[in-house]
Amino acid sequence: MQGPRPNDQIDEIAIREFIAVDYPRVVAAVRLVAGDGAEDAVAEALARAWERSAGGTRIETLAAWVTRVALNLATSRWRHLRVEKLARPRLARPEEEPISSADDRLDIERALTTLSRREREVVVLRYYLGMDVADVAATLRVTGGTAKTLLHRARTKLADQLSELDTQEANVRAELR
Amino acid sequence: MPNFDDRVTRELHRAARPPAVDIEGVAADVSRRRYRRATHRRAGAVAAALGMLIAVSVGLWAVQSPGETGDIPGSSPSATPSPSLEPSTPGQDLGLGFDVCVFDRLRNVAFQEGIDGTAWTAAPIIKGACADVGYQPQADPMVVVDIDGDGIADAYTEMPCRYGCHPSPFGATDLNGDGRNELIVNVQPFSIMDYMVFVITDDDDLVVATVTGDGHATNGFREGQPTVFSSGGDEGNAESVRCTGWPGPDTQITQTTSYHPVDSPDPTEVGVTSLRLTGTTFMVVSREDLRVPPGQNYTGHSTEPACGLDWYRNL
Repeated sequence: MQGPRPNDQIDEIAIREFIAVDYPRVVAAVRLVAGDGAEDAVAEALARAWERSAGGTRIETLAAWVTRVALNLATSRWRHLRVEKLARPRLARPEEEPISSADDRLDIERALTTLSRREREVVVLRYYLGMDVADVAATLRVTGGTAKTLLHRARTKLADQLSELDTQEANVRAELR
Repeated sequence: MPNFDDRVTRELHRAARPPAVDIEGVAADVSRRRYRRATHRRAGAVAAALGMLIAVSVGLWAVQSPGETGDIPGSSPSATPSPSLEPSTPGQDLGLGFDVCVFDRLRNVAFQEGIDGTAWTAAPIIKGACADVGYQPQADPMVVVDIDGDGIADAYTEMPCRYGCHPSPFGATDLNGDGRNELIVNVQPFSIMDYMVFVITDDDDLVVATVTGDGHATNGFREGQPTVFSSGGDEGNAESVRCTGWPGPDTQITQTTSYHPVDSPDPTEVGVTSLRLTGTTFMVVSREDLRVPPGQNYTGHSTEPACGLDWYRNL
């Protein structure tokens, strides 16, 4: 990720630089946290950063700001689905089939789904984007203590989940022999 | 657990699948989005200005047109029919999947950085339409939020009202130091304003903040009940809100209430409660019940903004 940009205003050059350097990793990170719609969320966050900067808002680190806002936007898409699900009984509409099956996902993707949104975020920022705890805290706008607690909880859950999935896989292999 | 950390890092990189980037395509998409947002904002500003112009024009016309009987404006019975409680206005589609009757709306609510959200107070439609005044006496009110700023509702919750209330979104501020703002809703506009706090949880839910542990009955904080803060005063009662440690995880909100018996030799009764929000619940961290002797004034109230909000704005 790029370091802090001491610029006052984000221009088209900075936007293109972000797209060339940071965009793929930020999209991948948002996808790991929130699933589909990551590219849309990152593009929207980038447009908002540009607009806000032009309006006088100082954005210290474009990559961190876009990551945070894109994560917020992407998880809000989940909220839309959730609201729709809550509202469905009132409309008496039949339940729709889930869009994708979990079978083709990697163990880590399945394990991530057992974490809360915040836990997924700290795991992805820490282990995929390679941020230290201070940067994770700054990106998510929480204290260092909160970030550490979330990371500890997430690691414990992930360890349990991955170990369980390993055991299941070993059992399946043993049965196939 | 270095091996475990390595494994998580390795597997996340395998799972991530970063997209191949068409720089020109993405840049054009971002430009389009920015242009669309700017256009949308300008259109909103023009509409608001036009609305205000029309309202002012209608007001001027009403003042300058006293009616056929020649009555003095302002003293004559209004020709406009009174707002009716009978349902007649269509509901609004906020994106919930069902229409609602909106009481009030607050725009540009920053639930999260970089996002201008919206909060509504509303009620499900009864009898197929909304009353002109929006008030739905038979229906439970609800709080609805658009968190990502696209104008479509993302979450809602029914609002606990022990008696008839007419709620209105008041503002948003971070009371638990988690980096996301809580929504404050004014429960009832009176000379004493009551405010409830709504939290957007990590599980993408909107819930009312309640009291956990021993509360403080003097100030109405009871375990399991919604936390209600108050500001304002009438007939010897005074209520105020203060904050310390804001913004941050050490934020404490202090509710002070006092009752000064008017024309009475009794002392002034004072209750001071400090609370801290963790997750979705407020825990009382200190409580005091004081008596101020007759003839002395209690000076512990403050009317300064607290936790980034002016709790006296509507008084």
